[in-house]
Amino acid sequence: MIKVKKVSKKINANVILENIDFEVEDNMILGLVGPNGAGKTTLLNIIAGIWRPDSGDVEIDGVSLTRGGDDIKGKIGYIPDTPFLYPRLTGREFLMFVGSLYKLDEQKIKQKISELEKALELTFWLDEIMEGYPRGLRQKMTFAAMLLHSPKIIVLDEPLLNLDPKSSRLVKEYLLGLAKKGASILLSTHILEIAEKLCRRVVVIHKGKQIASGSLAELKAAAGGASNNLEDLFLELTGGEKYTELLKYIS
Amino acid sequence: MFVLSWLNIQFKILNNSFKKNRREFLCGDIMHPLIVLFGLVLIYIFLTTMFRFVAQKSLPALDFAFFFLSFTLLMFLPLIFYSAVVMTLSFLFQKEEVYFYFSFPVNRLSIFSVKFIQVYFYTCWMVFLGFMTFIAALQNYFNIGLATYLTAGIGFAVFLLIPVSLAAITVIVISCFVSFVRARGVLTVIGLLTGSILVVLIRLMQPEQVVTGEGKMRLLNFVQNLHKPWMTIFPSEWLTGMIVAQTRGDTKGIVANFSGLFILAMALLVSLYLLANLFYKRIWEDAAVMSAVVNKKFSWQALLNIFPRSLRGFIRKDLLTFYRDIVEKGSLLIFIPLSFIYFYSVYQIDAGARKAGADPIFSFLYIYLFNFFYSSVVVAALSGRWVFPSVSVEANNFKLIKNSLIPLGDFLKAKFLLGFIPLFLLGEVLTVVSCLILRIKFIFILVCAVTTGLLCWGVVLIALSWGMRQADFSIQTPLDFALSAKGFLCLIRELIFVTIVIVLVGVPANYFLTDGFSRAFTLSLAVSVTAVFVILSILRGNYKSSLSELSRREI
Repeated sequence: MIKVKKVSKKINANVILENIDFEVEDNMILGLVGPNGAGKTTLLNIIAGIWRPDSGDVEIDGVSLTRGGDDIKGKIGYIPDTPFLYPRLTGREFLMFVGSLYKLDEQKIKQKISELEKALELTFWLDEIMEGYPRGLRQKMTFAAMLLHSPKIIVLDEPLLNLDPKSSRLVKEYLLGLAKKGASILLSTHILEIAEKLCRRVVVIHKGKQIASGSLAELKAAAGGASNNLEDLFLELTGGEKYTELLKYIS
Repeated sequence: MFVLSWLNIQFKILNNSFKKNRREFLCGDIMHPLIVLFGLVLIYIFLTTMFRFVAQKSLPALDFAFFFLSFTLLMFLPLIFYSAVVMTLSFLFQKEEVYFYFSFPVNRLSIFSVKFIQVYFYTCWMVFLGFMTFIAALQNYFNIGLATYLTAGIGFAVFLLIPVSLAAITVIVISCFVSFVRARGVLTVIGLLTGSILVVLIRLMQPEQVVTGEGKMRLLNFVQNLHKPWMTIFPSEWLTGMIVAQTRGDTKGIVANFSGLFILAMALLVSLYLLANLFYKRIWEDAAVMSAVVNKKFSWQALLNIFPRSLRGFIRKDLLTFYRDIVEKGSLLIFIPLSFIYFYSVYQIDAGARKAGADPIFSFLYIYLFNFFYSSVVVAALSGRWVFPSVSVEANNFKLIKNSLIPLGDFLKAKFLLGFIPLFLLGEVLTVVSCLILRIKFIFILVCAVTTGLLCWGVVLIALSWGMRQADFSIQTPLDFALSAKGFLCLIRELIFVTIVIVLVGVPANYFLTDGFSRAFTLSLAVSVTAVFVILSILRGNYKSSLSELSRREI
């Protein structure tokens, strides 16, 4: 379980996050949505233990991330918005390296790689140098690296970006399967359709503030039931008037 | 554990680079070590010649060798320190890779350790080879036991930990008080100023006098006099003491000196460990989230109107990028000592030649051509530093440029003008002012000015063409690329061009000064002018073919 407790963060005196507070229970996929620059990536970096919050805390299965040691990161699987891959390593070498960072023994890593290469259809590429990987494949490789240690807490920043429809479906099914097995998954996305189909609950962030949270039905009810889908609701919550102006300008 | 995994992965990266393109690896990456090897051979020859000279003068050559070593190591301490500061700023705060590591259950000190290993290795490998060359010269010339290599190697590796740890400590401490961007700027400017002062001081010592026997004697005395008893407080002296003890078979001396080095290095490493444990994660995080502190004013917009419309956007972008980068802008500081050294050298050479009562024609020609050569070397070096990496610095944006409506030729014209205009102005100032110092006739100043213009044109064209052919859109910083083997080859090409042009100017000038308007002068002038035009057309052809290669290149 992830507990985000009144997290705030400032960068260069600008308030990036203010009092963000929500929970991701076990067996749950929670979607984090918000316009560009809302603070989603900063929040995910804090939840993944890379940055510190200025105030507030994040708890992973009841253990404080700011006060706990580095070992707690062993429970988390994280895909950042700009994944880092060593261009001059093969996919297999990279996965072996990542496995060693999670202190997995070699046999276990090999076994896990063999499972993941089949599940994510990586076999053909795994022994090629990653420099030549297409963008979607790089994303799949990052996904495989994230799953290598079977994390219980999964934090994903735009995980389906650059994936073709088949791979995207594959990853979505995989995430749903992980949630069923007990994982707590937090994903940020711009593609509201993904949030709508995958996530049991949604948190909407705008200008660093949590402006709404709940299931889609709860959010619709809170908005007066006027919105038909998450996209309409999102625009309503985050400044739909600008969108209308934009449409006018285009037409 | 993490450190071992990381070292293993670095080895795999190197191995894969070799396997991926052996030809490129052998012709490109291997050139760098070959050039270094050539430099080491030159150092070896210089050292053995010096030892022989000292021995010929019936002086204690071995003692002198150790005075020289002690003094050189002392001089190198601040240079290694500043080099390590630059490396620390670059490696410790690398955004993507460190970001990646922090997302794993890896101890922050392990991450710091691998970054520190990188700083240590990149700062020291070349200095280490230079030092071992000194040991090789010492061992061969004085026939000392082979164990000296081991003692000196271990001693020097420990000695190098001292300035490198000190540099890392300085960076961490300063970054705790001021933002990373400002700390980077402050340290760069201080480093450049210190380096500039050192260079000026070395120039004022008049090292050119070493070419004479009298000058050599003066250098010997100079080095011997520099070696004072109070120097024993420096680690450089302990390392020298260790090697001296080794040559004498004095085990106690080796242990005593090594202990001094080891204790100091360990004390600094422990301090660094504590500081890193307390602050590294925080200052890295601040650096990662901090946007650059930039001056947003751009008050010289009107100046850009002198350029064609299609080039203005590129020129504006490059000027702003340069203006807002404290390291790049700070590099301009180097012009102050450079100009001072240049004019001082010209004045000294002229004064020296007059004092020596040299043949006026020879003296004039010699000084005139050397003046040319020096100013051209300055222009070539600056062109290698700024023009050569100018295409590669575009990185992924090059795709955008290539796909834009503006032809690639215009983009490169902008790059050419941004390199040519400042270098042309600098070259003209250097040559014309030094001609005035030398009291050269107006006609020769005119020849000088025109030739400098052509030289700058050619040098910038060479750097740009080579930079287009060798473009690497994955470079970390333009400085790294300029200092790579490719950058060195660019400098060699430029210097070959400069030497050819100087010979082409020198031959007719020589005939004119000796015989006036003679047949030989006319003939040599005609040959030179034709050759200059042929060379310039070759350079232009090379530029065109580089341009077409670049436009075909898939990135």
